[in-house]
Amino acid sequence: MTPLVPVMAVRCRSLGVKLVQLFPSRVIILAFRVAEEELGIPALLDAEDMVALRVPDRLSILTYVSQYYNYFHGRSPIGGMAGIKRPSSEPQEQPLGKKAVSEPPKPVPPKLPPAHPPARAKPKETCPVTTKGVLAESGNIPSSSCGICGNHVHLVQRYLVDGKLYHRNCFRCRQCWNVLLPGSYKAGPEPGTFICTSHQQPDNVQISGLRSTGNKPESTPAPAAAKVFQKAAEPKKPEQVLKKPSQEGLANSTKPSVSYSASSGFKSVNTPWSSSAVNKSDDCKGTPLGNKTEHREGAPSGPLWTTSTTKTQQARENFFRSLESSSNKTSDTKNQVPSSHGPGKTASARTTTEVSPVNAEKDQARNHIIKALAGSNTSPNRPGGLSATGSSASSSGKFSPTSSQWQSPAPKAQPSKTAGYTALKQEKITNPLPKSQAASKPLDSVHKPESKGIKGSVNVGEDKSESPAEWRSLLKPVASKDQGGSKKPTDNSQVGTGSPAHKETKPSPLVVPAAKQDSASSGGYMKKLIPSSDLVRSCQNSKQVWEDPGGSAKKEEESNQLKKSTTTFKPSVPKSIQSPEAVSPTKLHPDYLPEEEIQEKVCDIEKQLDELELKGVDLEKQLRGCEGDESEDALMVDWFKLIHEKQLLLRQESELMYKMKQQKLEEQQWNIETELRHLMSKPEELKTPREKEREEELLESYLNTVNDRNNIVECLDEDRLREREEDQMLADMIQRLDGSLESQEPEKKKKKNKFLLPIIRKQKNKSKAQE
Amino acid sequence: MAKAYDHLFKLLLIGDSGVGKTCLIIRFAEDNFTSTYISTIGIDFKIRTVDIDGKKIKLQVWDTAGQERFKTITTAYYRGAVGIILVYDITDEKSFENIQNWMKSIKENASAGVERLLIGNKCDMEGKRKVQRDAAEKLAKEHGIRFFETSAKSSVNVEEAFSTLARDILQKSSRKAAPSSSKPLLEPGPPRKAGGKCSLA
Repeated sequence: MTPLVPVMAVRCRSLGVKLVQLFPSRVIILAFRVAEEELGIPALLDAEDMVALRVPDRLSILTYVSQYYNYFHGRSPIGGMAGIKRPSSEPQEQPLGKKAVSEPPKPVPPKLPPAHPPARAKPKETCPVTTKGVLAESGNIPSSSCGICGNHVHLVQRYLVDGKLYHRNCFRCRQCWNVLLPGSYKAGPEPGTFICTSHQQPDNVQISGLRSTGNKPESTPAPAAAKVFQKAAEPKKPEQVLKKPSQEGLANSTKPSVSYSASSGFKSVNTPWSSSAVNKSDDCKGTPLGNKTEHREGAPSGPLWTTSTTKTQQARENFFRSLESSSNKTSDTKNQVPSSHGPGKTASARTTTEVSPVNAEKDQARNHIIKALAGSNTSPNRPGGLSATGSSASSSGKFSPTSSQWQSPAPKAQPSKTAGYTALKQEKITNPLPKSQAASKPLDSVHKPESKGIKGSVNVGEDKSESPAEWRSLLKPVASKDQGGSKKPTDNSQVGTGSPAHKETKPSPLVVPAAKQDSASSGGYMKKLIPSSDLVRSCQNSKQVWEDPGGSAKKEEESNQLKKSTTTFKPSVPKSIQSPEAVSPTKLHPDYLPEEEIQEKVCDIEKQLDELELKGVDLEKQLRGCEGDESEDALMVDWFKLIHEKQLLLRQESELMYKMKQQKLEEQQWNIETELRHLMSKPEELKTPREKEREEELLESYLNTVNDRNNIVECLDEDRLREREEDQMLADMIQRLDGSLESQEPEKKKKKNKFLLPIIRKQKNKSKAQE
Repeated sequence: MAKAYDHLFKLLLIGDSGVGKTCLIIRFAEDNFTSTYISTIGIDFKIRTVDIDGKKIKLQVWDTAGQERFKTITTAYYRGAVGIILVYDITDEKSFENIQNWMKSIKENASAGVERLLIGNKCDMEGKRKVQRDAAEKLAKEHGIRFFETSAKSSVNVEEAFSTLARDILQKSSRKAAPSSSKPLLEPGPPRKAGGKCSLA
């Protein structure tokens, strides 16, 4: 596929009007503008750059051109529609930043022979001719410097928000220092700073109107991001880094909530949340990776594949955002007008779009950019595909962006993320509960245990050894006797110690049935109950397969019956509608993965991603250094392999997040159903208006939950298809490079021909081993 | 892995209230059964991945509420399904008579080329049978669809019914993908007798 600009140039020439020659920059600008406005493909290249460079940056062009490929294949372009505007005031940052938003070019333009040394995007100040010297000097240009720490940002670390570039790890919440994920942050108190959307700010209006309070822990892409950032910023002090978010998280007792504003089609891209990202810049301590970039090479050789990753990440994030918004909606049914419910995605889309369309767009934009910058290699087909279906683009397909975003957060971030999700779910279900709970902590007790449990991902490991034993000892009393309210104080104390905290995340959803009753007491034994089932299950099952196996229902029913027979409701509880002993069938599922397990796995993936990032930085430098050399193509192959590995890790991470979300939704559905059935069983004439209203709300929540679960299924499917394409794309690209290598070193080619297979196999084995 | 499958098919179960749609799905997805009747609220789904002709097929089986009050909710989900299973209760002739209405509902709300299947559930209750197999087979043949008599309780023909439907959908989709394939275009599954007599083992 020929780039649009050259095509236009040819046509111009053919018309006898040598516009390109006369007004090259104008033509190019026009071309970019048309593409941006009509096709939604943002200009990745700067017109002046293209004109100034005698040999335009091959990688940049490939990236830009690939956007057209995606467009015509039904995928939304990286960076979304005209959401990405290139402010005239920031010409330097935008092009380079956008160049980072790229994906592996599917068809290498024939005009750009592989042997041609990939021209790196150069800062405007450099000469058109690419030289090593130029590259070496270009590091200090603003467009390749982190907006927070000011250090050079390598391709792998690129994180573009609102046209401003940051290190992935620099983009953190001002309050909790968690890495901010797309859609999960908002402008901070000071201009140029950002905070998690869950944090409350006196001055700023919350982006997502769905979030009831800023203190409620919600999905934690932001904290995760912040954590990652922090971790990267201070590699020498990992403990500090790890501790800080947890401390901050505990102090704040909030999880950054993903601003699940409606992401109606990946239109908007970069604009909204970048503002919050800017805020972060002040807090950036400078990352070790950034420090490595003293070479100041600003060429985005990596971005080729980053666009696809960006899209995936954006899709994922949008999905999560929409899920969160719909969840928020469902949870606050009392307080909010139930959105009209439609089948599948539409409902979610509607709910999410109703809430904060602007923020959704911004979040999408951010996600796109961040994904691209993060350098994961995912194809960007989700947005287009989703939009095409007309279903809630916001709800579905957003998963990828989110998950890719999560890859940047360090392990700390992960706990927050999961905490956020759990918290969000809890919030949805236990809206009245947290308020009623008289937890002695600053946080809502519901969220607090969760946050503690989650935040202390580091602590979890330590606590795990003792907590299972503790829980086991507690389990028996719980299972055998009625869940007395006394349990709750015990729980809270445990929460305070932080050991079984993560277990309490699960109890929280069960609090819903007890919401009507003495919340404190019910919360207490709810928490107890869940750990028991969890422990039993986790003891019995090591790694669980995700798919629904047979026999889970049996287990559920048996344990439900057992619980019903053995547990009696606490007398203090006024109503016994919600049988607290009825554990959500989700937890009894053999495939159930406790949240902390998921968090651990995600943390592990984050670590691997960080390692890859380091490798990527080195590789990037090598690539820059050997421009024009014979070894360049070989290094490019290595580069793509590394990108592929990163992609695989991101996919694993996204699957884990999907699973976590799915489990939460199932539990939520079960809880809603329990209460709803009770209401429905009441004779119509005996129902109070409030009860009837409540029944309506619950039904709506129930349907929304089912739709959210469906969205996860669909997102997974889309991811699966896209991943296939990505792998194929990458394989083709590497083969092309191998082809060029063949002429140089036939032996090398043989070695590299099996490039992807080992990586793919390795990843699959890893994931299988984990499962 | 969660994405270790080749195809995702959305199936939908429709039929009168109480015929056993939820039980069929629970039997298929979780190999479980409960005698307690719990009316389905609105809609729900369960997932199971099966192997069909060497391919892994992830089946997302939607369970609709048979009650009239949820009709508007459930009809909205017809369109997304590639396969719809009409369920009636062999001990309830009314449920069999209503199959015609459900067929109409499919025509009105579902996608054009949706694959259909007729199931006569509760075949373990031979003593209370009110609908003869012949009548149902005749009806299925008229519509050109397959027919199975199943029992979610005794787990008879449940697996077969779902697998057959999945296979038909798979073959149809592969025919669409490869029109030059040697397979001739077939009618949507000739009606055939359910495998073996349905009786309590």
